[in-house]
Amino acid sequence: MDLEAAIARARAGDKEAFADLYRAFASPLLSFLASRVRRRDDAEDLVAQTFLEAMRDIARFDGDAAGFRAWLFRIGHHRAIDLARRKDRRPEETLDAAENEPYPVLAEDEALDRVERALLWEAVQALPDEQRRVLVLRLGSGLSSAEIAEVVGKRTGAVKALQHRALVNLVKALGVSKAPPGSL
Amino acid sequence: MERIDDIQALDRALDRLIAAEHLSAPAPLVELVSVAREARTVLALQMREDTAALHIQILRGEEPGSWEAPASPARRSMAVFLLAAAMSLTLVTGSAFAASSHASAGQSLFGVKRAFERAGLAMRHGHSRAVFRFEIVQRRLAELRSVAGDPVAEERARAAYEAALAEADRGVTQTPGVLDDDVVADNVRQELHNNVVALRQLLELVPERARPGIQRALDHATAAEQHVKRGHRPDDSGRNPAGTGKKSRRETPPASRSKSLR
Repeated sequence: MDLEAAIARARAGDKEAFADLYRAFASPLLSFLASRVRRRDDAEDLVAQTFLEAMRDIARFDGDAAGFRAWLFRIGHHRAIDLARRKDRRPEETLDAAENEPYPVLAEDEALDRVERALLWEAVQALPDEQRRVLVLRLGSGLSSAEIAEVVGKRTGAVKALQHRALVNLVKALGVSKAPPGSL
Repeated sequence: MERIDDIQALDRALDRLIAAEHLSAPAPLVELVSVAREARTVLALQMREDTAALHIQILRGEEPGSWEAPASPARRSMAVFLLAAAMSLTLVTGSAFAASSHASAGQSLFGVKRAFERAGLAMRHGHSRAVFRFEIVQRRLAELRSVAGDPVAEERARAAYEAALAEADRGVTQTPGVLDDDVVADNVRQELHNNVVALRQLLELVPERARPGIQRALDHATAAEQHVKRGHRPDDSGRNPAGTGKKSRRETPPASRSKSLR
């Protein structure tokens, strides 16, 4: 799909173009937001809200596909913050949270067992906020360092350093050697 | 201390990992890349197809007319949120909602207004939902009054009013304990009383040909008022027989709340 063309069509008010953009960006955005709000259902809701907000404000957006992605993720980030604030005001919802999977399970990869996934997920969640955000954008959403830099408002070099630090911390937190040298 | 070379090499390795290319990393980075590969399998999610379909429907601006609340609480929550998000979006833009708020049955934006109301209903539960149904009845009544004199619009508005009234009446009947809550019961009674008064006034104002329809609506409103009065036992009027004050408004927690934490 030609993202630039889809963005141009979306700016012209073509709702089908927004559906195309949704198909392109929904899963990466979901990956990012799931790590922010921890509940998949909440993350899915936020994806929808993010796209609705983007659709509302698309006329104000002036950039290319990379810029659009960064803009979209920033909107999602702010909505995740809003949600967290709302939940702070409604602490009773934490009970409902127990009914949701605390971490996502991917059917296509059954080799990694559930316990290990849980450990990984918790280890990622335990990272400092900046490191976690960068790591999730990189590995979950599949953004490049340059694209992440646009989303988080940092220099590309800083993003690369953060992702390195995050992975080092992740290895330490897991406390196991994941692979012997040369086994990749 | 991080080495610039390692940082750059890791970045290149992650690029290849994300591109699903054959992965080879310099020896010092093998462990990091291995963990990154496993973390990616946990962190990279795919939007579910049914969820994506619903989201796209909303983005296309299709009115969720055939929308039904999904069975599972989680999916219901999501669908409700979507409707609410669509509502808040339109509220902010101030266009469709502002226009739809003045729409009455038969007008093009009435469907939008109903969609917002369905979202509002879906977001409420128990007593709150029962009361909101009566708020909707009030809206239909206001619409009915606003189109008085236009025979076609009036007929549609009256039908919409009666449908809303019937739904609200059923809501009271089917929500256990609603009328045992003094505050809710008072609200409902007051709403219905206002309806009856307004319809009586309207009956005086409309032309002769419209009176049978308004009279039917008035009859229904009066019946609903009586129904609510019967449902709300007289000895519930503010103090229970033991004299210990009004019943608490707190609802019984839903079953999900009482489940034990896993």
